[in-house]
Amino acid sequence: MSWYKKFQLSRNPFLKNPKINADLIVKDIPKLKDLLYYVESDSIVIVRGEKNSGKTRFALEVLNTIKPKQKNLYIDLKHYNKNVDIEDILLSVQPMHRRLLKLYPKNIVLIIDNAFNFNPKFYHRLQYFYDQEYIKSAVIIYKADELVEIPPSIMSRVGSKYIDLSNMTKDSAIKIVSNRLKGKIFNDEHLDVIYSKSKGFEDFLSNCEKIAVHYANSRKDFSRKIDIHFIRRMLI
Amino acid sequence: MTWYNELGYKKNPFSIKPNTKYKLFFDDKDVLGLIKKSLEANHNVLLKGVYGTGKTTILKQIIKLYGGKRKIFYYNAFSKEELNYDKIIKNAGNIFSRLFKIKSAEVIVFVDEAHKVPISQAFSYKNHENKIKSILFVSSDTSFIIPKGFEQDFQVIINLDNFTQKDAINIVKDRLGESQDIIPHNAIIELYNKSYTPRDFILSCESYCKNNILS
Repeated sequence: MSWYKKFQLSRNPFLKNPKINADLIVKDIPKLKDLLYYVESDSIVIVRGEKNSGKTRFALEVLNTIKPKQKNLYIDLKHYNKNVDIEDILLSVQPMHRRLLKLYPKNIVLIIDNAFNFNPKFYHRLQYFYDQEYIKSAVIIYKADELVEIPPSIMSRVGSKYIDLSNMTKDSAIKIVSNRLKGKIFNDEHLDVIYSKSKGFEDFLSNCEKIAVHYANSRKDFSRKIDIHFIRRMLI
Repeated sequence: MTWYNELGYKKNPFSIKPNTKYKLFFDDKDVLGLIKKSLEANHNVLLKGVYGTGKTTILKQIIKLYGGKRKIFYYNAFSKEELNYDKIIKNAGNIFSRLFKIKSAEVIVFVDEAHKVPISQAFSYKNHENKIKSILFVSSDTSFIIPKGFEQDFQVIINLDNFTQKDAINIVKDRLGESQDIIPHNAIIELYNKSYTPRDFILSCESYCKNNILS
């Protein structure tokens, strides 16, 4: 039996992968509304933020909102060669017969994650597909401190359509995990203690998981929450 | 619901995508008419302007004027393939000529971002002069000039460098129609004064409407 099932949870609540645990913090909702507007109104928009500020989660929330009425494509450039052609990416989502005839999808919302240091030709091709209406709107996501060379022709189309996500704070981190736990395993006081001994959000998740797994493997009674002294001992 | 949905528009009237729905305004000059007339008269044209001045929109509108016929060939410098006039001529024309690879006569070629195309490719049209009716080079590099030896081939050079206040007012009238008073006249002037190009201005208008109309 998976450790989290002992706490009556259906999945591991401490996974970092935003696709599995999609959280949304209340403070981001106005920015999400802006992003939804830009996506709907045929724009190219840039989303920036520090590591763990929730950029990918933010973009995935847009996809969840616009599906199923709008065709969309999420790509993480981390998984592609620097010289990839956006044409190949657009064709890859087409059925075989349309791919063979080089028929591109029309009016697609494209979300480009980890857009850094790519061949400028990638962005020129993006511009072409955007102008020719194959791409309805595009969201370009990158880390705020990364050197990203987006050509002036794309920046001219972006204008002032930037969304800057604020950094992950202790309160945000605790709220995210608390929402995932739904009253199980740890309370806010526990999470506060764990966060204060962690270096950043990923470490916080990792520490939460370590403590929860250890507790699950060493106890038989899960009707009560974990004792705070147990947590403090685990974090030494 | 978006601000433009609230006003009864199905789509964003301040979309910056090049489209043929809206008119173009160039300081009272009929740029579109001039280009079409020149191409019909077998004159080559060089169209220059920084990003956002309307070059791609002009291209789309001219293609529409020709009814999207196969005798217009559009090439973008960021295409995967090289610019090959021989291939263009063979692919133009009706299905019969394409099937038997018969070279079509009177092809008009549009080359977008021409300054990015190697000279050896861009200017090899000389080998096909009897089949190419005219060429339109478009460049966002305003310093781009036709190389020596070819200057006499380009009879018409157009610079899109003058975006006027009147153009700005006309853009709002054209795009908003009956709802043009949504952006008061003094606001239009203020937005115009902060804009360098028609695209800057259109984006500013959109931002204005989004911030002032959205309920």
